[in-house]
This record gives sequence, structure tokens and C-alpha cells, in this order.
Amino acid sequence: MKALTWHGKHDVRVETMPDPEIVNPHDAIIEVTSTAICGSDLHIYDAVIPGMRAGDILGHEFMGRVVDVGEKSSLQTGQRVVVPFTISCGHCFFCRRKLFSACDNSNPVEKQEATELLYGRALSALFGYSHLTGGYAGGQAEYVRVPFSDIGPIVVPDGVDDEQVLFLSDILPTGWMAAENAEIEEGDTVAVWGCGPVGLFSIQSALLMGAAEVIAIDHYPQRLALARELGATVIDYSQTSVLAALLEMTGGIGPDAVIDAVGMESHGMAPDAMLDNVKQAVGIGADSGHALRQAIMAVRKGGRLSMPGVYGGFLDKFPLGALMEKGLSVKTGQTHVQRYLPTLMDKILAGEIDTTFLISHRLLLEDAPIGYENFSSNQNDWTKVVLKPGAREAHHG
Amino acid sequence: MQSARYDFPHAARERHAVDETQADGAHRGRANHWARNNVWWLAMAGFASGAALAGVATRQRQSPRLLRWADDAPETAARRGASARTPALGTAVTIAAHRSEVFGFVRDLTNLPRFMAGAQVADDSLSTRAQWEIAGPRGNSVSIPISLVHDRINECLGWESDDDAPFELEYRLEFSDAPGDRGTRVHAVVHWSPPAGLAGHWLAKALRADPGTRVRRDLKRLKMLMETGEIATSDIRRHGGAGDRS
Repeated sequence: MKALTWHGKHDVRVETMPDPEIVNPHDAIIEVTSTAICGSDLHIYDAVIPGMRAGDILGHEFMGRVVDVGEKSSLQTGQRVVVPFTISCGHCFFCRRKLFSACDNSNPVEKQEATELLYGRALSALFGYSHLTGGYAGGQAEYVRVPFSDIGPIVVPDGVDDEQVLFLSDILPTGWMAAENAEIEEGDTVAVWGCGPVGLFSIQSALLMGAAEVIAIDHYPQRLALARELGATVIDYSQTSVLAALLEMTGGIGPDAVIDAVGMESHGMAPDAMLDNVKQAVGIGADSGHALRQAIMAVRKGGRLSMPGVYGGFLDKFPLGALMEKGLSVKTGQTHVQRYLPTLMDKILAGEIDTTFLISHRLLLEDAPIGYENFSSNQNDWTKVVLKPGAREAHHG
Repeated sequence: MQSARYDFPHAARERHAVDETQADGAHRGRANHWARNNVWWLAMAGFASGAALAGVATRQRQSPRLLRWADDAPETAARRGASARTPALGTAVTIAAHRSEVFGFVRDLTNLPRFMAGAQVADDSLSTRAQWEIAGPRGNSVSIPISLVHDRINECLGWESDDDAPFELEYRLEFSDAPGDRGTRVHAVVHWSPPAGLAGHWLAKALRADPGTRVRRDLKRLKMLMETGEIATSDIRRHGGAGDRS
């Protein structure tokens, strides 16, 4: 099969790799019909993620058709499915509490020790990412082996386009969980740092959850325009003092909840799966802890801090005093994708959520390296890239 | 009792004296003036007393009279000095399955190779003997003959190396109910006398071939098998593949 493989900094190639096959009883093999490049793929592209090996197949946002199933898979050949980026067994202590991204059983045992050392506990597995999180072959390929296919993938009804549901794999549930973690109440004002895909989806989700006003903070005009179209009030931090603006715009109280959809590229320690492209979009580079500090300073007393942005290491000059003295509550974590899929699928089918607005480019899998290059270097115009494995054949067939 | 260890009447008297000085404004002014003029000597005195305290603390740790106060932590979690001769390791997992189910699976020794790396057993579920293959440097491996010596139903299984083994090894699994609906706790304790002593232990650790690393991995595989019926792998083909080329 053809697959997008990583070989080093700014070196990704489309190569011929062995076709995957059923290895474990709960496996399924998916023929990929659509897959996206995530902002967190750019961490790998920039070679700042530890635990990568030359030849790794990238991609953790994908969907496709079931072509083979193991004896314990609940899927059937021919079904169309969207696959969560988190790999979860469904039976461990964490999965039973719907903390799917904390699954104990998906990361192979010999790969757990690195994150036990880094974080005190082993992380669960993700598709198409570092060997710290399992080293599972990803979805920017013609075929993918999907472990625990009875727990993750959600079946797509007939008549629904790929692009309407593709982002259920990561960024839509990630934005939704960010808003849920902000514990929004009717009448709240919510401030969102970062208008990349996850920031935009958390704006959309916050408004659906009853926020009276959402204030979006970024500096790319195109991304701020998308936020405004969703119904947000926008602040361009390159020309406005964010703290002063938020104080005045909230009548001196401050936002009730703040969402850091920026994250920090912490010198190769970020294990993640979500959207660090938002961080790059905001353009604060190594100083990206700035957004988090600003959010903590801006939020009202007794407010809520939600952190979908990815952090991997350590942060200095952290305003711990403000956090404690203002009595803030904090929620964060990798997305428990499986928890949200049925609800979000229903909202998409009911027309309450549109996810296609942020797609800027559609490419063949063979052109994926062009997609990486532009997604990395032209953040204003390249907001989201969707790849179509097998599309050339489909056109000719 | 060692409560006297925490009783420092002399120090308490000194603190009291300082408090009295601070309560008196005139004395405080004089003291501040004296401190400003003698800041260097104060710093030296502070350093010296800090060093002395550190020395006392070190001696206390080494003193046989002041051995570890008996807390409730497992013995295997004790801090050890560099002189510890028999590294012991403990590890634990919680498995979402009933205790009798977990115990029964492990007690059927034909299941051992499914989760215990390097375990070789006779194809006989009543057998109590097994071999433990341990990989060494440069592809060499040693085989440890072990026998089941503790067998308390639903509570404990323990293996010990036979007399003709190249080194001593004890491997004990204890089974207990986890709180709430969490299932079963399996606690493993391993003692071994590595060849070449501590050096051998650290070499084995570096090679990820020490019993501690192996037992941690064994228990995780046992948990995976009991909870999901399979052991996670990132291979994309049955006999290894692009997912894991390590």
C-alpha cells in the first residue's frame, strides 16, 4: 500500500509499505477514504517529538471502509467508519469510567516505560504518533490496522459525505470537550485563545452550550474571520492589549471561563494528538506558555480554566498564586473521543454543527508532502488539509 | 519507642529565647543593627550550622539504633542505601476481573508463557515446575529452573529457583480484592541474587533484563489478557511489521 512516512525533520515521503493484516481478535482493517493533517502532525514534521523512528506511518485523523475484521470485532465488512485518534480497550478501569484517553491496555507494555518515567504513569496509545504512545501505524495511508475496533470506530450512515464527519476523529470532540471542561452556564462569557481548528470548534461548542458571548483571540486575519462567522467577538492580539480588552468587554468582571487552545511545544516532550497548529497559528513559538499565563490572569475570580492545548514538559513563571488566590478550577487532558461520538454524530446529522467550513485544501495522498509544507509555512491560508487516498484510482474507476 | 528522636528541648528553648527578643522593640533594633554589621559572619554561621545539621541527619540515617520507623508501606518500597545486597522489587496491577478468575488463570501454569516473558512450562496444567529464560548480554541467555513453592488458593502463588539454578530467584504473586468494583489487585514481589552482585543487577536493569522490569511487563500483559483477551501490539502484520521495527 501507499503511505505517508516520516524520515526526519521536514522529510515526509509517500512510500510503498506492507499492507496491514488482522493481528489481534478485536482488530479491523480500514481502507482509508479521507484523512487529515493535524496541527500536532507538524510537531513530528518539525522533529520535536521524541520516540519517532524513520519509516513511521503518520496520521491520526482518518475514516474509511471496513475491509477485514478479526473474530471479536463488532464491525462488518463494507461499513463506513470514522476512527478516533485515541486507541482504547473499553474494559480497563479508565475506559469503564469513560476516560478513554487514559486507557491502560492499548500501549504495548515495552513502550510504556518511557512515559512512566516522564509522567509517573504510562500514556495510552494513539494512531500515527510517537512510539511513546504506542508507535501505531497511522491513517495517512491506503489501509490501517485498527485495534479494539469494537470500542473506537463509529459507523457513518449512508448518504453522509466523508467531510461532514471526518473531524469526529479528533478535532471536533477535542473542541467539544474543551467547552465541556469550561463548565459553561447560561449567560457566561468565554474567552478562547487560539483560532486553529480546535479553538474554532470550542467556540462553536461553547455557543451551543449556552455561552452568551465568546471572545476569540488570535492574530491571523483569516482565522479570526472564521471565528467571527461562528458568532465570536474577536481580539487581534497583535494590535490590542488582551488583558485590558477582556476587562472592559466583561464589565470589569473578567471571562467566566477561559480556554487555552494554543498549547506549548515543550522542546520535544509533547506526546500528543491534538492541535498544536493552533499554537503555531498564534505565532508565539517557544513562548507559547504566554497564552496560558494570560488566560489565568484574565479569568474572573472563581472562574474555570480549560486546557485542550498540548503541553508535554515543564513551564516556568507559572502564575500559581493567581490560580490559587482567585480560586480557579482547571480541567484538561487528551480527548476521550469515544465518549462524545454518538452525541456529536447526532448534532452533525441534525445540522447543528458544521465541520466543513475550515477545510482549505484537498489533496491526493501522493501530494501529502506538499500539504505538510504549506500547512507548516502558510498558516493563514492553509487552515485544514484533507487527503484522499485512492482518489486518483476512484476518478478513473 | 523512638519518640525521643523528635524531642529537641534544647532547640525549643532557643526558639523561645528568640521570640522574647523579637517581642522587645528596643532589642530588635539593636539586633538588626548588629546583624547588618555582621552579615558575613552570620552567613558563615548559617552555612556551618546547616552543614552540621546535615551531618547529624546523615549519621542518623546510618545509625542502626534509628532504623526505619515502621510505616504501612510495602517492604519493597523502602528506600535503600547503596549497600543493599539483595535488590527486591515490588509492583502491582489492578485487574478488572474476579479474584478467583485471575488466580485460576495464573494457577494453570500452561498459561504462564502467554504473559510471562521467557517462561517455559511442561504442557501439563498440574505441573509445578517451569523454566525461566533470562536474556543476557550479547545474546546469551540463562535458564533458571523454578518450582511452585507457595500455592494458597485465591491468595498467593510463589516460585523459587531450584538449588542447581545459576542464581537465586523468588517470585511471589499475592491476590486480593480491590476496593469498590475495581476487581483484583495482583502484587508481585521479586527477590534475586544477581550474578556479580549489585553490578550484575544494574547491568541487567540497563539491558531491561532484570527480573523487576520483566515482572512489571508480565503483570501488564496479564492485565491485558484478563481484561481484553489480547496483548496490545503495534505490529501491522502477524509476524511483526511496520508498526514496530524495534
